[in-house]
Amino acid sequence: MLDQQPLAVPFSFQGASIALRPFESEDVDVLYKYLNHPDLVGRRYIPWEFSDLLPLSHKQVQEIYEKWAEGKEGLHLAVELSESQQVIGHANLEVEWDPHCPNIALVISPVQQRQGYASMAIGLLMRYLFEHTPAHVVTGWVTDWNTAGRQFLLKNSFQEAGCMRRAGIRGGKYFDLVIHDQLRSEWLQRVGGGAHGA
Amino acid sequence: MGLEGKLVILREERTEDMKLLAELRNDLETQAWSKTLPPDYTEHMYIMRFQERTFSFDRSDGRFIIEDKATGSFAGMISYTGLEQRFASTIGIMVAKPFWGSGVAADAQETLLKFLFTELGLRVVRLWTHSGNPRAVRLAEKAGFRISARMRQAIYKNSELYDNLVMDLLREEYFSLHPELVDIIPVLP
Repeated sequence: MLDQQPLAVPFSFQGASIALRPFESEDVDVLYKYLNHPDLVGRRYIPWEFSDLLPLSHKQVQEIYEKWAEGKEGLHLAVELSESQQVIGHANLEVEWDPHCPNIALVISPVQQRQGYASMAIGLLMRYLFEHTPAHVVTGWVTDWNTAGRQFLLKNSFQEAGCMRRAGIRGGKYFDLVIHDQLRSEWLQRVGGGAHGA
Repeated sequence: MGLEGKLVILREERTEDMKLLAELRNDLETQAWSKTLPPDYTEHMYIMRFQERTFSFDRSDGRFIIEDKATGSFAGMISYTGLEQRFASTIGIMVAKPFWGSGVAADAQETLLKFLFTELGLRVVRLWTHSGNPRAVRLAEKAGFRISARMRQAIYKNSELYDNLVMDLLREEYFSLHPELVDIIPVLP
């Protein structure tokens, strides 16, 4: 006797005005443009083998796209405006090896920032992690000079966990990576406890 | 010869070490991370890993056997990984239980740190441990490391949730603990 239950619907990364979706080859040009925006230098959240400080060539951006589209090392999704289907950034979800404690990162093109898109995107990522994976705590890493990024995580109920000192050099000075974390219990409290157990 | 400390020599791996490395890896007490489980590693696996290591001047890691100078015995292993040339690396250590409390671990750590700071010219050395491993925290603190970040409940091991700890040691902190060494690299703010 076949099970008459409907098939489970895959998790939908659909927010009020944005969606997260896999990168496609036609996104490379827009990726090239915003990754090379001067305001994003040092906070592009691209694979470690590419410089986070120097301009990226088309070939390098193509390689970044291929890595992300391949989907073998974590989840790398395009942030897309639902209405215009314009790609405005990317969301990374990385698990070094333990899905108990994944790491997230969000990048929104500077021309599209401060419109609430990042908050919508992080809401989708957190719901996915805490409702569909064994995640118990989620971390986010931000350079100490990226005050907007730090405020964004704190606003979204992350707590500062300390820092990795001396993560790099910028403007003749060392900088640190500030680590933030949010427990599943804290997220549940924030969203009203509507989520089921993992 | 390898790197020589007061109590230990840090030397290259040899085929005859592989059995002992597998035994060390299979001892749950010497394993800090669930990643390394299950404890079913074989000498053959280690020999295969050893043989796959190819010659290169561009390696981003170093693996050393800790040899007890007094007896010539295998006492554990110590390594650095994720080397960013002239900038940073992460160290890890496993010491065989008969050598716990003997000073071998601290000496091996000091010997490797001296190499990393005075030969490789690193600006910072890091390590990862967790709050369920106070022995590792004390060992690191002995060399001057300090806990710089504590990620809550990020480690599940032995039916407990522990905080994941980042510990680091800056170049100038290391040299201030070793007045016998002179650092000629200018300090950045």
